[in-house]
Amino acid sequence: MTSEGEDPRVRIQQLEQRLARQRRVLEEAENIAERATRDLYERIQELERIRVQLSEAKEQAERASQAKSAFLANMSHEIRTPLTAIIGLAYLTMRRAEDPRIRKNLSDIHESGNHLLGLVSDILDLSKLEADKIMLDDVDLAIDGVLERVSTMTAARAQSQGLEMAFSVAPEVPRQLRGDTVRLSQVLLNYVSNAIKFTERGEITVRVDLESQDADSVLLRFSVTDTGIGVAPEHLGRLFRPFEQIDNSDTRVHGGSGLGLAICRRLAERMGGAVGATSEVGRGSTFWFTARLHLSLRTAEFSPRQELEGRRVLVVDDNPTARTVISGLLSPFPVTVETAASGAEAVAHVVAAHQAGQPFHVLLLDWRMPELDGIATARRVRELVPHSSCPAVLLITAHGREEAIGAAAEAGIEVVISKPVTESSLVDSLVRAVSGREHPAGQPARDPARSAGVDDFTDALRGRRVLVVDDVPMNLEILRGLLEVAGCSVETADSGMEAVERVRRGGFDVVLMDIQMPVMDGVSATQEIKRTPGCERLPVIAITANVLEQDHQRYRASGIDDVLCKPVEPSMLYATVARHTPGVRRDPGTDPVAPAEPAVTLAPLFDVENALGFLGGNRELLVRTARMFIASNEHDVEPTLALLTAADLKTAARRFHRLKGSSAMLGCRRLTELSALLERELKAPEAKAPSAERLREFSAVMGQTMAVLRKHVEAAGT
Amino acid sequence: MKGIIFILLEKVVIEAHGEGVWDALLEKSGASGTYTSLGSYPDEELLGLVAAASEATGRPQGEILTWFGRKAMPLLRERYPDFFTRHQQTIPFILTLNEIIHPEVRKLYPGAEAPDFGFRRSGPNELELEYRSKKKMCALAEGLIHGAADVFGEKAVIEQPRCMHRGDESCLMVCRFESAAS
Repeated sequence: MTSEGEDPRVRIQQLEQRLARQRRVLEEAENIAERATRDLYERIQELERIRVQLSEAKEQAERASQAKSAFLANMSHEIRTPLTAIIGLAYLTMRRAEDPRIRKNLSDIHESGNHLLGLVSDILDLSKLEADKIMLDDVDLAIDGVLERVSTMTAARAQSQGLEMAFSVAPEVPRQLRGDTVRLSQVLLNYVSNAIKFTERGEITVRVDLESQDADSVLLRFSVTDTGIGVAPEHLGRLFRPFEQIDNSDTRVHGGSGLGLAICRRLAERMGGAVGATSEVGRGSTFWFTARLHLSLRTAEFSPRQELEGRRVLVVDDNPTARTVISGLLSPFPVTVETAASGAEAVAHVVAAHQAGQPFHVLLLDWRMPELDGIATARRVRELVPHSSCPAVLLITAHGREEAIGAAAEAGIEVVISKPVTESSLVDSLVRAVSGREHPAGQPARDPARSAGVDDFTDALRGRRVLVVDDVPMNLEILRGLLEVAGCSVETADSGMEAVERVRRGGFDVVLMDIQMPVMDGVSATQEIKRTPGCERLPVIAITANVLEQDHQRYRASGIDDVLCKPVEPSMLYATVARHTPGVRRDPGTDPVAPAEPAVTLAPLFDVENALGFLGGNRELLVRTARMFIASNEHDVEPTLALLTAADLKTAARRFHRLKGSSAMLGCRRLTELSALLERELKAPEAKAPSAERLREFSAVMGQTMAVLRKHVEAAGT
Repeated sequence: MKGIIFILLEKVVIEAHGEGVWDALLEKSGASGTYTSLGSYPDEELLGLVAAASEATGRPQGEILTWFGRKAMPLLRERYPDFFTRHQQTIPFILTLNEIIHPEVRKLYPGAEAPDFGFRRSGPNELELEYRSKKKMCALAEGLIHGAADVFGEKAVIEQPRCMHRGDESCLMVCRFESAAS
């Protein structure tokens, strides 16, 4: 190789060569860069084309999805509207049908309609959850209230299958929380309904435990344990997936859309929780879910603790689980709880406690126990223990409540609690039993086990003046029928326009308003009504087949006070109307619409057949009961009337309440109705003493009833 | 052959022996010398340059290629540090060739004919590497392996029981690595 730069000319030549080489490199690099730039430009163009195509496709997909949602909502509306008619008309016709076969058919139609409605709701719910369209409420809720709601809706079925049901809430679970009551109940209800569905005998336990707690929220674990057929482990995971049931024959045997648990899973996840299940084939299953709830800032308004402080309670039940559950429900309260496994053991306990100078204050007696049942046990205790230290008796029954009330009243037991026992029903009853006073909130404890029907609301609804607005005549007829059965006076309007005119003329306590109507829809009509002087506070309840929450919110924002979904469940209708017309009283003199309580004088004084119905056809028992009634009321009328003049209306109301119950047992229906009327009048807000005319009527009916009963007793005695 | 190889060779030669030597090699081999990293140039030009160097130094061509590979690896680390910084040792680095480095090379330099290697871990510090390529540049590969070991502070001992230049179907390189300090 040559070394560099010996000869300057050679050196210059070398440098020129290198320069020429570098120029060629530069030129080639430029060419390559230009090609690459052009290439890049083309690719960017292509990417832009693809981006536009994608964004168009995305918009199209979104439009399609919205159209699907809208279609679904509309279809649901379209399906619900005729379903409303089917379910409502079946219910009404069923109530009036005489022929038991026709009643059965109608009841089947009613039930199938409700089932179909459930399916429609499930499908809609699932699609909304999948589209993330469900909005959760965050309002004050009481866990006991949730359990009570679930218990109300499932108790009848559990009882009819002879299943024990127990609800328990761990003491450390805060009672006042915030969350979505409806969704929480929905999940729990689904679990409990499944448990009942798949359990032939045994018991179903619902537990609420505290999983974790931080500064402003709690994670609660709800679990439902049954003693049913169980699920094989390999199937457990599939249960929470949509459209999968263990096998398709389940659908035929047990019904259901197969969507319930999938909905539960998504709802639990939306509530910040999870779902799961454990099971053993043939032994039973536990289904659980967790949910995060916010702590409520509101403190409980009522503390039963003081009322119960230091009380001694004896829990008597032959079922060990029931004993544990009831004791557990009482554990947060400052009471001493002992248990007994049979009537005889209970009697021994009570006598021993009495002799030891530490008598029991309350006896919680299961009705149906082997050998000595609840009522017999109560009798035996009364025989053996002096009245002064005799405990108050609460009868717990898993069987028909009416039947139990009859039997209990005869034995002098006033308070009957239906299983499943919830904390609130138990504590309310206990407080009532030990203090002789009602719940401080002023509302008698609601019986959770009874499915609410028209009879529960006639007191609250009688005489309410309701304007029903709907453009579909059949809907008007259904609502009119349902409301009239409950004692409301009903007028109808078939358009928003007419509704506004009617309301302006006055005379209504509440308006039930359909939303979708031609010309003037329900929302506009409501706004018009609320603008009318004097009608600003007239409650307007929307009745709509529209189930989307955002629409309900829109209705409320427009001034509508409440929303009912079609098909309207009668108990929901009654409860809602009652809630919005609390203590509406009218002055009979100025109110032409209100009926002048005509029913009272029409009812028979003494309906023997009716009484025998209550007393299992036992004529001898009827005579004995009548004697008791005469004995206890002979000297009671004057003091009651005296209470009224002394303006002790609450005590008087309780007297009438008791009289209503005992006269009903004897079929003294005129007295029952009059007592109910008086009780209602006395309990109304701003209650006044009844008019002199009413009191004269009462004295007269009371006297006539006593006379008729005496005659009956004498006739039997000879 | 991609331009980057020629550029690396140019750098390595100039760094070690000066620009005059590079000029002479170009002149002798008749290669154009106008290389850009994005262009592709005939394999023969590279072989011609190596042959010229071999002739000038009196050393075998394989040795020249190995020397080039070893010197090129530190330059590659400067240019593409990301491929190196993830590793502390040579073997894990080499094992990313097929899955990471060469696919990236093909993205950066469309048309690059980066070879795929067969790997076998024959011991904790030993790697068998099978090379199969029309270019038959096992000597370059060997140099690159040495260079990689240098980068990671290791020393590579490479035996080649099979070689395409000896009529085998593929080349097999048995590489043992030890810490350079020991």
